[in-house]
Amino acid sequence: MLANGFRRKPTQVVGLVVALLLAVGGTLLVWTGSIWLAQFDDLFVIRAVVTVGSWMSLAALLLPVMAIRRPTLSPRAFLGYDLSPLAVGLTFLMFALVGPGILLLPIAFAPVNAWPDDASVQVAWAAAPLLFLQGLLTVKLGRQAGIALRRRPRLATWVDFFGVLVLVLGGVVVVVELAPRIPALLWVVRAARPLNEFFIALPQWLAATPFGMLWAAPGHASSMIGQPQLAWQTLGYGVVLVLVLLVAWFALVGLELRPTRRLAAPRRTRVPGLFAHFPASPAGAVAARSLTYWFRDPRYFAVFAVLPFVPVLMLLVFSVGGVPFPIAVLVPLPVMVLLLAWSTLHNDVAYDSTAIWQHVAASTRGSHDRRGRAVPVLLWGLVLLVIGIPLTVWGHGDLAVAAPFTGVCVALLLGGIGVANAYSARFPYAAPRPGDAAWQSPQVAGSQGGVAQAMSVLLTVLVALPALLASAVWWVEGGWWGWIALGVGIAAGGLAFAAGVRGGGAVFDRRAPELLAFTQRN
Amino acid sequence: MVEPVVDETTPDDVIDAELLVEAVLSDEILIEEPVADDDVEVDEVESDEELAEELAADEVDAEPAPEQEPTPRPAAVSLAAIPVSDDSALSVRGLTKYFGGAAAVDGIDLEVRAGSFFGIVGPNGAGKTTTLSMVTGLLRPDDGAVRVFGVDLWQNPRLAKQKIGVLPDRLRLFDRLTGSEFLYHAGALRGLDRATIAQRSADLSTAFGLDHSLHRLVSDYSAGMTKKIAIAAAMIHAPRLLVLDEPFESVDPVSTSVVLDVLARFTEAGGTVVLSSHSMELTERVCDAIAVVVDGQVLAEGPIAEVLDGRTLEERFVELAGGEAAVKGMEWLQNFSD
Repeated sequence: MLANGFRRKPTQVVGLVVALLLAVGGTLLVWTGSIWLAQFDDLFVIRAVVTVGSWMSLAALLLPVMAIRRPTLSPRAFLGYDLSPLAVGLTFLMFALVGPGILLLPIAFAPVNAWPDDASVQVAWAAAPLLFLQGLLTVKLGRQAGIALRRRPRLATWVDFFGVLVLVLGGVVVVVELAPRIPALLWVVRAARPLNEFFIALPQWLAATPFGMLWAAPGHASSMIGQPQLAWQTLGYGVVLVLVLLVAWFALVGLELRPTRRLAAPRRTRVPGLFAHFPASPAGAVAARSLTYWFRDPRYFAVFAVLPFVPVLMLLVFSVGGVPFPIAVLVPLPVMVLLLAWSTLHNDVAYDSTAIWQHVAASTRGSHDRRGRAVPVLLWGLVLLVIGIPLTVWGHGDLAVAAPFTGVCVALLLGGIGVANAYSARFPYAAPRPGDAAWQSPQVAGSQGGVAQAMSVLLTVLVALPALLASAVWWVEGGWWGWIALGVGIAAGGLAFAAGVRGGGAVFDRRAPELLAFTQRN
Repeated sequence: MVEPVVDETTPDDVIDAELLVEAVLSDEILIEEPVADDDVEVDEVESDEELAEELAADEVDAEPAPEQEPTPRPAAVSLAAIPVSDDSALSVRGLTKYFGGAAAVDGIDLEVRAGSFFGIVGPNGAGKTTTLSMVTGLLRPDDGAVRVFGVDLWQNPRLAKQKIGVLPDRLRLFDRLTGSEFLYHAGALRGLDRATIAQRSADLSTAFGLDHSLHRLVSDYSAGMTKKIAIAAAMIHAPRLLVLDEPFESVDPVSTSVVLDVLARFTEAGGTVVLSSHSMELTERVCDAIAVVVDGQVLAEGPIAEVLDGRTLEERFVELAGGEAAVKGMEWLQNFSD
């Protein structure tokens, strides 16, 4: 039965061979790398071993979770033979060694080569079997988790996505950590300089996690750190960790070997599209509908066509104007945030055109309507901030700018949404109709809003003003003003957001039929 | 939700409009006790008399419906569940709307009894859509009152609108949603929970024959399918009153009969339908009460037999709307120029 694991389809065999070659190559790399490491100082060895090791431990968990499609052999296959779970579990572990699992041995023992210090080498010898067991059990448990995960395809795609992301990012981190001793990679060190503190602190954090613990243990015993008792203590934790994993493994095998009772599952209610990700409430429906439109309606995603050009254009203009780059780089993101928060939302009701009757007929509460409409913009805004703030800080070159900068951006985002939310209920003006191109200007008789719209932008900037002022003080004085700017920005933004939703909602409640009449005119 | 008073047991294998109506109505009838079938005839006659008296008392703009013994209702229209209390589903008094000085709707009074199939007919531009917009809370009237099951719509819109399902004419839908998303959106806007929405969407799409189109965008639907999904969305929250503006315009005969079938079951179970149409033949066939609206005024209103007075609706309508006179004046059309 166990031998059936070797029977595969031809395409699978090719894939398997490639994977195997990669694994062997990787193992060889780790082995030679460990020998190469021995020439450097203790601190660098600690950094390298901990990051590389943690990455491998993480991969031992994530790769099986992502790669497994269906079990080649389940412990359940032994259900009919009346074997004890302990025996089956042990057999499976043994069998894992007859195959690629054996590659874990050289990987686990590789650190022995790496440590230049005798005391460290001793600990490394002791840690190696534990590392080996940890790796083996992690892989096994990861496989089981992966099999269980495939029953929920939607969750699985998310896990796959984040798994790949984490591993790729981890790979980048590994390269950056190794770079200082590789002459060819010195440019990486220079590029990563703004985040230097992070990369120096990272190995310590990793050493505190189960993934990096055993890799870090020999480092504590090295002559430079000189804490052998801490090293042996860490090994003790490692033993506990391996025991926990063993118990989990045998419990899992035992669970699989139990006869199951079939439970009648409740009929799953199918929720279409994005509506599944929002609660079944009026606000949730508005949010899901609005977000769907962001994906399907060119009038909405037109703003994404503009956004990327904002930083390029602005930086170009600033560089021509002779503004130093570290200052110029701070400008584009707030402008982009303002553009995003304001551009579509401030006239959202007009974008719906007469379809807004559904809200009027259902007497949707104004605050629900407003809150729902804010969700997509809030989402895009967060994405923009998460990408934009690190890039800006990196471009600026000083980590300290992050706090006040975030304060200003958050104030602009929340304030922009709040103001626009109130404005779209109170001062709608003719917008391109559904199905029209985004830039097509509508044909309207009568005046187009102009003053009111300019006012709304001004109001948004006003919301960000406290954060801007505090940031200015920080620029001159430094110190805690940066954090004050962050707090003030979040507070002012949150306040404006709440007021906009509340006020816009009240206006919507009062003027719903008039809004519908307005959309019918235009 | 209040336990349903009406407890009809339907065979499980009948998956069609019957299930739908049951689903739609299960949590809908709150107070009214349905009258047993043998009481219907008496009750009906009484209420007709009441209605006639009321009409006479109120002095409708046009000549009041001729006083006569109400003829028994055609057997095709069943009113199995006429509520005992509060007979009026929709009551409109003096509804008025001016557009730029001219009255589009000029003091309309309407009285729709619960459980009836009420048709509003009128020529183009008579003010049907304007009236129905004001009745459903989509357009603020300049004067007059709308009461839905005794609740004043413009004083207490949230409560009144819960009882109404709306199909407006010539307003857009959120048509970049797929059919199933559209139904879900409509249900969630009305505050239904997921399981209820899923069940009712399934029932409604089956009843209207939209099962195979639910994954497509509503903007890609044909006119008839768009009407059908809009009516389905109007019914998803189990309203007592359905207000449908031109539900059969540009709808093919098969879809029309499907929709009529669902609506008939809806009224049988006690629901009320108000629809506007300029298809005389259809209105005459399906409605049990009508109002003829011309130039923003009600010219005739009441049970269909009364209004028709032995003629077809088309003849009666042309007579009321004065179309014949206009044709008579054009003698030159009979003297050809060559």
